[in-house]
Amino acid sequence: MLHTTIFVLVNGLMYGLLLFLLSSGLTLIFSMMGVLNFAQVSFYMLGAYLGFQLMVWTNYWVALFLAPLLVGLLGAAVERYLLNKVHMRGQVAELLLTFGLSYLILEAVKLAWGVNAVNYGIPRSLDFPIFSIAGVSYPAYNVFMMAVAVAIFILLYLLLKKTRLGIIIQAALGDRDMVGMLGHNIAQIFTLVFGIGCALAGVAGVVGGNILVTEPGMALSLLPITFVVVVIGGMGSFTGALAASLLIGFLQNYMMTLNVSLAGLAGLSMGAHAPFYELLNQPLSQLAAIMPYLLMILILVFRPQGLMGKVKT
Amino acid sequence: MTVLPVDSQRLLRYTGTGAERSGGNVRKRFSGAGRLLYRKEVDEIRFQATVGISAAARKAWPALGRRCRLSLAGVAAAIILALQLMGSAQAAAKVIPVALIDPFSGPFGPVGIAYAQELAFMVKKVNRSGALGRYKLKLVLFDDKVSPAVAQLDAEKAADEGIHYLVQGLGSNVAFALVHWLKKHNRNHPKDKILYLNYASIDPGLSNGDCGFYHFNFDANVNMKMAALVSYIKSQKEIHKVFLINMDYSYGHAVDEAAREMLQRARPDIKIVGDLFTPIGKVKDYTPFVYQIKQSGAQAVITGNWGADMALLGKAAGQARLTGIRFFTFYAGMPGTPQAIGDIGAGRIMQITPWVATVKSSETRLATEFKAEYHTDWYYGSQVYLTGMLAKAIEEAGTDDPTRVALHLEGMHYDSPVGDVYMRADNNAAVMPMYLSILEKGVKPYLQGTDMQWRAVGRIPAISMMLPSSCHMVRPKAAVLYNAYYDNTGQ
Repeated sequence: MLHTTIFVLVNGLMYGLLLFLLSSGLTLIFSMMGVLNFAQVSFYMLGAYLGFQLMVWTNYWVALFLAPLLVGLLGAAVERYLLNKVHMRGQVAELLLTFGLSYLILEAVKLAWGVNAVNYGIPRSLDFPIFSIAGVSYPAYNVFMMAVAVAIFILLYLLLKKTRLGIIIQAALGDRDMVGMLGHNIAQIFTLVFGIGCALAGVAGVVGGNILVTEPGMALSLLPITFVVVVIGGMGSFTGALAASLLIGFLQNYMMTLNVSLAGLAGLSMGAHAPFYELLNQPLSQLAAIMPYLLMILILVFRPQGLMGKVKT
Repeated sequence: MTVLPVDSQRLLRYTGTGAERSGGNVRKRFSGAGRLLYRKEVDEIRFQATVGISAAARKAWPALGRRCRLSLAGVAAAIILALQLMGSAQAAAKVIPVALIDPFSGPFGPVGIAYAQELAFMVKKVNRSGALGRYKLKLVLFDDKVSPAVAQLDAEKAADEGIHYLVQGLGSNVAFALVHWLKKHNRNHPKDKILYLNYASIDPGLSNGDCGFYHFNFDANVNMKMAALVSYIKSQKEIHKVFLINMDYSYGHAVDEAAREMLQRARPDIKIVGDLFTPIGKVKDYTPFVYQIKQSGAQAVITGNWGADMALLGKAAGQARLTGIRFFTFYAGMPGTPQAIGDIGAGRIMQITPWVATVKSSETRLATEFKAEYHTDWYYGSQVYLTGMLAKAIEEAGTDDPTRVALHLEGMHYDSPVGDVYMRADNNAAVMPMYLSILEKGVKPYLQGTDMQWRAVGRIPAISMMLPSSCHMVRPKAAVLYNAYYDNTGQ
């Protein structure tokens, strides 16, 4: 039992940080800038594929640096030349534009790398077991992934709270026109923030793409969970996104590792004809996948601003 | 000056453009490069004919005798007639549209597209070989997103378009929905029957309780594959504990039941130490399940998972360095899955398939051609005999009427590249030899983008795949049978 508890904590932390990594870009763009970027996960996919390709051509460390840069530049270009133009028409226009963009990226990826998964492995230098819990080893790469996620959190926190740029960004998000009146180049700031958000998705792609599977379906399969993280965490809160990721990570791992049912947890033994027998005797591992969505609904009903979101005034 | 009457339309039908010859979209034959090429050819012929014949004729015509003139005119007329006839023979080439209902988008999209490519490749081959005589097959794709409801709508659409052949393979839940739709459709449209060819949905219910005359299964079902796996596990004395992990729908449950029942019979000493069902396409991190496998002390895992669910399970198990645990799978060889799992899967994962690259057969050539054309690995065998057997049945029946074709498919022996494939007449399910193979590093030919390949460990002859079936199918009326008999024997 002790082993299992340790496993749930460690694996939960790992999965939670992976989730945070995946949703960090979206937090910046959706939850802070307020842009409903449907293509965010497509930038993540692009990061993974570029990371794979650069790793084939050069090595992983070049890929880790270059792929996010390329994705970030592409993101900035998208903001500068496309999103900027529809921004005044509100969120529906942005949503439609990024929706179309996600399809374009998907088709481009299929054209360039084919429809099947690519062999994107973890770098050799980090491919050794670093510790193990009850016979289940972890490659050093997973620890590296956790370090990247934590580093991103700290850097973004410092950028937003401690630098002049961060203060201007936050002010611009609060009252765009006023900050513009004060002489700051709002358009440029928005392009920059969007670019950083996309670069973060690129980092998540390079780092997470080989832990998960790099294939054309990867974007769509991650879209719901990243939005759930942002909503549970609360709009405009980085700390909230981190908290939500970890909460989902721990809860899901707990449900998947302990192979018990709700009835088993409550110590009930019931006949097959008892009411809700099917639901209560369903192993929790089967319910783990829907848990984040249930959590999101509960949060929306009982705490609409999210775990750490600011109440809109 | 005489000009041979070269009717552009007729010549085109006679020559056939690339698209038509390859069985592609026939509507495309007047468009694009084909049209340009054709124009050039026609102009060239016209030019030659005009210059050559007219010059010769102008000189020679007056000098020729009357008989000679007549016979020349006769030859010209014969040539024209022959061209006309050939044109009309070609014009009669009838396209048989075949609806392919599978996922082409979403999490299982890549798998669907990979299978569709293999089917398209085989259809092209069959059309080119001329085995179908005056018929040609044409694939029409319908995206069902592995949803039974969408698949039924797709089938309805296909029926509205006058398509009489459905092909589907991914998702037994979809297959069941199609079978039920088919029964209703064929009952309500006795003059417009549809034939359903299933190449990879392998829930045993499809060839037992839910079998049907208009529904053919071309892949070995769960029980057949499990029988092959268990017969191997039986000989592995070091396996005492087995863990079952499967996808949570009818197919996954069928795998689980078959494994339990057959292991109990083959090796009563083996204990089932774990039994998990995972939601389809929803789990991102399989490590908690891998932890459960490790904790259970199992030496072997049996799984029917496919697509992303197989890739992520294999990957998690590899990263966790589960030494001494072997994975017996149905679908770890799907295009993209060994690539996603990576090197860490080598030496631990086994699969059961009708074809393996390391066994030399005439299918190896197909696989090479396929890889040159599509740049992905050839994976399966059932596409080969599905298209081959359908073509043979149509040829033997001499018609594309689904009922006649079905009667010829029943009981057919087909000489496939990997051996004799027999379509059982009692449940309309094919039996074929199968191979058990293990993923290993350094075995050639390498899978795309890796240095691994499946090395064959054993071959299971078709005869041992003849499992008893509980199928009771309603065959069409005796009159139809009699007609078919008459067509065949002339008596």
